[in-house]
This record gives sequence, C-alpha cells and structure tokens, in this order.
Amino acid sequence: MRSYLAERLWQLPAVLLVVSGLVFSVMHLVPGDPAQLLLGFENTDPVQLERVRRDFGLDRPVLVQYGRWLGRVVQGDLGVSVRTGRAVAEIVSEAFPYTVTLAGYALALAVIVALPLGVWAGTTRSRGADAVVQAVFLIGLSVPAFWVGSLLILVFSVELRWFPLLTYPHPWRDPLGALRGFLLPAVTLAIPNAAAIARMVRASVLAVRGEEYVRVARAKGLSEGAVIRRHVVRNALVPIVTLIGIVAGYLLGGSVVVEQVFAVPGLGRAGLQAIVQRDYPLLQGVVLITTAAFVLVNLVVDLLYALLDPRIRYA
Amino acid sequence: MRKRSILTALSVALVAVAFPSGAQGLRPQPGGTIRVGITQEILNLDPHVATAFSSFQVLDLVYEGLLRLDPRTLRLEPNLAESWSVSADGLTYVFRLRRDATFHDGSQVDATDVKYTFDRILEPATRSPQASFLEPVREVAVVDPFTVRITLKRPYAPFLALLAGAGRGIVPVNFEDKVGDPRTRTLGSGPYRLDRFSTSAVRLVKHDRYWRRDGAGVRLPYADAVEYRVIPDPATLRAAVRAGEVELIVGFGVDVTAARTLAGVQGLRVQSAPDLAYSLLGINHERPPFNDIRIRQALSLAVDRGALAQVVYSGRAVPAGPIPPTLEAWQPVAPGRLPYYTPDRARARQLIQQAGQGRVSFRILPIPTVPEAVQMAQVLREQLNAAGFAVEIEQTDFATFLARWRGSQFDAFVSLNGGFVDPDLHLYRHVHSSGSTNVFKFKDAAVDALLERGRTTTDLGQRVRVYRDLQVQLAEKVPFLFLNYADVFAVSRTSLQGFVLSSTRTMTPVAESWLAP
Repeated sequence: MRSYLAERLWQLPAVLLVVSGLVFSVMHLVPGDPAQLLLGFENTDPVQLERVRRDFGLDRPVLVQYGRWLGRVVQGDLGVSVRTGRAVAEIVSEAFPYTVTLAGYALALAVIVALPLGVWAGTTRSRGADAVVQAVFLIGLSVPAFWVGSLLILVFSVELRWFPLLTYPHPWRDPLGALRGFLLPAVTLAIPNAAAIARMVRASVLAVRGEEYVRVARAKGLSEGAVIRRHVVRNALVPIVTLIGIVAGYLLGGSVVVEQVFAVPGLGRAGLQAIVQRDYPLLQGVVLITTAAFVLVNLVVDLLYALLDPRIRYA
Repeated sequence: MRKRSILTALSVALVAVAFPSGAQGLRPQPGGTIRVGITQEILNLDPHVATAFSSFQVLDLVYEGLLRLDPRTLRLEPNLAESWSVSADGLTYVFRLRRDATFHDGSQVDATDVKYTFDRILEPATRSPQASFLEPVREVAVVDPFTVRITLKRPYAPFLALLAGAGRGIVPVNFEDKVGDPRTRTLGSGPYRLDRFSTSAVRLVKHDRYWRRDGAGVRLPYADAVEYRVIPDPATLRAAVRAGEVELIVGFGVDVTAARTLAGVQGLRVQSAPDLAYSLLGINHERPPFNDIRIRQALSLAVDRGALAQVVYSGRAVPAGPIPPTLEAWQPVAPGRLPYYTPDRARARQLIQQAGQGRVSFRILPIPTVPEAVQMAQVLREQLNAAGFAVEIEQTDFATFLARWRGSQFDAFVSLNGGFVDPDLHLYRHVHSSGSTNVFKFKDAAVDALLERGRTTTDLGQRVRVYRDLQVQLAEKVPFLFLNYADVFAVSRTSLQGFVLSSTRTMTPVAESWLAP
C-alpha cells in the first residue's frame, strides 16, 4: 500500500512535465505577441517592444524559455505574469479558493441529487417513470451553462432578489454567506454533472441488480430496501466513484463559462485571460495547479476503491 | 426643551427657504459607497504605464493632470494648473499651480512634482506609452515653487490637450520609492485614493483634503467610497444594475443592447453621448487592389454608412467623416458634403472597370474585442459584393489580430480607433506617412504637409482651415474608410444623482455624484 502510494506520487512530476511542455509548445505555436499585447493597441514603439521582450526573456528561443521556466519552478518560483507584473503564485492562490469552493459546492449538490435519483431510476419497475427520469437526465446534460446561469440570475437575483449577485465571501470566514453567495453558480455547475452521475448510477445499479448474489439475498428473505442498500448500491459504487473523481478533477480546473457568467474571479477565468493575453507564465501556473489537482483527486479515488471493495488491493 | 424646538423650527424654515418645495431630492448628499460595474479586469494602476481602458476607469479618480476636459463641453479648463501662458513662437509654456492641492499623503503638489512627473514619463526605463506624445518636450524647469516652465523643441499645437487626463497625471517626487509598486498601489492628488486592489475588484476611499469644491462651496467628493466590480459577461452586467448590486455601469459592454433592454425599467436611468471613437474599414495600401486609388474610391462609394449605422447600431450612430461631429469648434464637414461619401454603386462599378479589374476580391478581418465588428463586416460584405467586390470574412482571436494588424498582414480589417479632442491627436498617427499607427501604409505628400502645418501652427483660425482642407483630402484619397461614430451609454440607478456621461467616457464626474437616500 505504502509503496503503491509512493509510486503514484512519483508519477506526478512526470505528468506535470509532459502537460506543461505540451501547453508551452502549443501556446508558442499560435500567433500573438505578449509584449505587444502588454503595450496595447496604440503604443507601437519598436524600441519599447524589444525592451519588454528582453525583460520577460521572450526574445530567447522557445526551448531556452521553457528550460528557464522549468528551472525556476523546481525552486518553487512560478514566475511573474507578463500582463500584470504580479507573481503568478499570488494570482493563482487568490483565484484557487473561489474555484475550490465552487467545485466542492457543485460536486456536493450533484452527488446529493444524483445518488438517490439514479438508484430510484435503476430500481423502479415503472417503465413510464424511468423514461421520464431518463429524459430529465438528458435535458440536464444538454442545457448550456451560460443559458441556465443567465436564467437563474434573472429569476433569483433580479426579479425575486433572493440571492445576491457578485457576493462571494470566503468559505471559512463566512460559511453561511458563502453557501448563499455561491449557490446559483454551484447549481448551474451541478446540473450537467448531476445528470451524468445519475445516469451512471442508474446503469450501474441495473447491472448489479441482475447479479446472482442479489437473488441470493432476496432468497434469504431480506427486505427489498435492505437488498438495495447493502448489496446493490454498495457493489454499484466503484464505477460511480470513478466518475465522481473525474468530475471533481474537471471542476477543480475551474469552469470558464460559469465563472464568466457569474463574475467569479476563479482559476477558469484566470486561465482564459492568460490564453487571450498570451500570458505564458500565468497560463503555465494555472495548468500546473489544475493538473496537480486532477492527478491527486484521482489518486484519492483509487485509494477509495480499496475501501469500497476489499477484493481490490494495492501491493 | 423649548429652546430646542424653536431652533428646530428655525432650521426647518431655513431649509425651506434655501430649497423650495420639491428641490430637496437634488441637494447633494454626502456619504455612501458608489458601486460601479465594469467589464474588463483591472490590470495596472501605474498612470504612466497603464494602457487598458479599465485601468483608467479607476485612475480617472486617483490622478489629476495639469488641465482637465470639461466632461460636457470637452473644453480645456484649469485643474492643478490654475492658469497658463504660451509664448508667441509657441515654444514656451508657463503654468501657475494652485496652492491648495495635496497628494493623498498630505504633501502639497508643487512645481518639483510636475517636473518629476514629466521626467518620469520621458525616462525610457519607465516604458510609458505616453512618452511618444510628449516627445516634443525639450525641458521642464521649476521657476518657483508654484510655477513651471515647459520648453518645446518645436511648436506643437495639441500640447495643452495632452496635459489633461490621468495618463499624464501628476505624481510626487520620488513616486516609486514612496509608493512601492505603482502597478498595485497609488499616490495621486485626485478625489479618491486606493483602499483595496485586486484584478477583479477595486475599492477607493475619499481624499479628505481634495481641493475642488462644488458650486455651493462644499468640498468634493460627496461619496465616501467608490467600488469597482469586474463583471465580464454583458448580460450579467445588465442584471447587476437591475438587481441593484451596482449603481452605475459604463464603458465597453454597455452598448445599444443594454440601452434598449434597460430603457424604461423602473429605477434605472439610461444616458448617452456621441462617441469620439469611430469604427473603420482599414485597408492595406501595399497590396493590390488597394494600391489603386480608383479601387479605394470605389470602396468608399460602395459603402452605405447610413445603412450600416441603422443595422449595426440600431440607428444610434452617425456616418463618420475624419473629424467627430461633437468637436464643433473644428468645423467637421458633414459626410454628405464629402467626396465619395454618397453611396453610388454604378459609379463604384465604373471605377473598378476603369482600373482594369474584374471582380475585386479581398478579405476582412474583424477585431474580436469589439462585439459589433463582426456584424459590421457582414453588412459591409453584402454592400460591397453588390457593387462588384468579392469579400470574405476571416475571424481570429485578439492576439492574432493584433500581431497581423501590427505587421500590416491583412487586406482589410474592421476595428475601432480611439478619439481625441484635438484633430492632430485624432488623425496624425493614423494617416501621416510616419504615423505610429499607420498600419495601412498610406503615404501622401499633400496629406503629410497639411498634418505638419496643423501640428506646428498655433493660431486656432489657421488650424481650423488646415483641418478643413485635410478632411476633403482624406475623403478623396481614402487612407481607410471612416465608418460610424456610435453613441456611448451609461446606465445608472436613479439613486445615483449628478453623474454626467461624457463622450470621452471619463469617470471624473463620479466625484460630483451622490447617492440619494
């Protein structure tokens, strides 16, 4: 178990290296000059342009730039944002709490809704009800976030004024305020993920329901509720947890659309700005953090398997 | 007790005399926080280095120039300089500073600060985009603590107009030592000082010793604080002012759609002003077909600027000549009286034929940061294709657009050019053969000569005549197509009183705005 953990953690730097290298080269393949973007539309003095390029090392070959960046990152220095001149670590650590709060909240909402709904859909004997629920899942998966978000804002912030817009307090300092402030973006983000998880729960429960040990449990005379709780759901959980892990990883990368619509100053927006402005160091910083979060969340999921299913062991 | 009630009765009577019935609501109220919704991140607060419009939405209230533009009339008026004189040869400017202006740290604004400010802007290490505008400055000298003399290398007519605005805002001597990092901290003399900064939210608080007073002698500003919130999505921005989360939305993202959907909503007020900035169809003079003047004139004749204004801006725009119609003092020529401005497809086809070309094909690159640009390119395509052109539209992201714009790697593009109150600043850099943003590669000796004369002549009447000739020349030679001057909009809650939307979109009127209880 311990050696497994060590091995997985050792893989992390390798994954980070590959991903950051990929992003770095793709960013340099697309046209666009961060120095010109920094100076703005109307300032076109070539001397100043060269000065900015030199300041940020943008005049060096791409490989040298990557090497230098890597050298600094190893020492714990994520560099300086070209666009704002602020430390990347500072920008990322400002944005990360917003994204984590939103991701955690959305995931919790999604799971709370999806688990019972999926189990019910997988165990109901009414074909009509199943079809309706399936259609609801499909709608949940298909409605675009910008539409749902705008609709929620119009109904609950503008017309009813139940929830504030633009108020995102820190979850530790003001937990109740955060629950209220983050609710609408969290709901928007939760809807498609809840639908995806619920579909997986339904399919998984259906598959397990046909297993022999379920029939045996029924034959033993267990009540239907106990059969579902103890035998069906427990055994159906492994693929569900896998999906939840993947969803959590994606959410931690920040949702560009939801953060944009609700004006949440999170990682997704920082990443988007970095791409638009060709702010290479900032984008690299955002990518590093989100990649690490993704890898770590999936590691936790792998460890959970062993807890859920004693047959799974890591030697 | 009795005494007190008499006093109360007296004061009520006094108030009633001073503010006859119904006028109470118009009396400026001190206190409160004005919340402003803006669409772009606030990247840099160094007044001499910042370029983003969003930065200046904050800086307008923090830093002050020697002069300022009246937000309504766009005329220059005294600010930190209470008076000035210009020598007959147009080379020496002497400014007398007001004595009651202080920086936010309490120190007095004096002549050494002015000298330091100009030196800082012109110092190459500052990397100020303002430096090229102030290039004609030879020397700034301190005459006495409240008198500054600025000598120019050559006469430079737009010089005074350049001294207004936060971009040339006065900072104290040893500014950078005092402030630390000027990108995220500030030290100015404006009505507000910085309280909190992040790229998505900025809070300013009142400068208690700000010098300016209102008509009744009350010290400005009225509100205790101003908060900026960055709301990138235009629909959310509109929702925020409707929900009362912000009192004012202004700037990009507050467009015709916002004006239309929010007009008539209870509790909101929509203001508009004609823009100084104009939309344009930029063309490349180094490539065929636009190296041929007949094709350029055909292009101008084929475009119906009035129809463009109707379709793209719902009529909230006017066809553009080279000088904005708002700058009446400069006698802008009405587009209907400029050559090649009245749409005429038959003549356009004729000119194309004379140029010996069949169907003239080219590609238009719309700027991705201006939402109307794509729509404008689409309407242009229809209009031009009906007159013998074959136009295609090519879309890119902003960084790519900027790189291709800078490198003149385009047939044509649709974009927006910022406007200025002085015609030299408005036109020189775009159409002079050595102009810094002449990405069109337009070169014309007669236009160059007029621009030089307009820049070095200090007599106002003579300048007006020069720019009248220039307007006609530009319409004939077509460096690019001036398309439309659109309206700019601001939407505020009715609780916000006294805010005046200016054509320059300046935020300075916030200092004279207040919140009704």
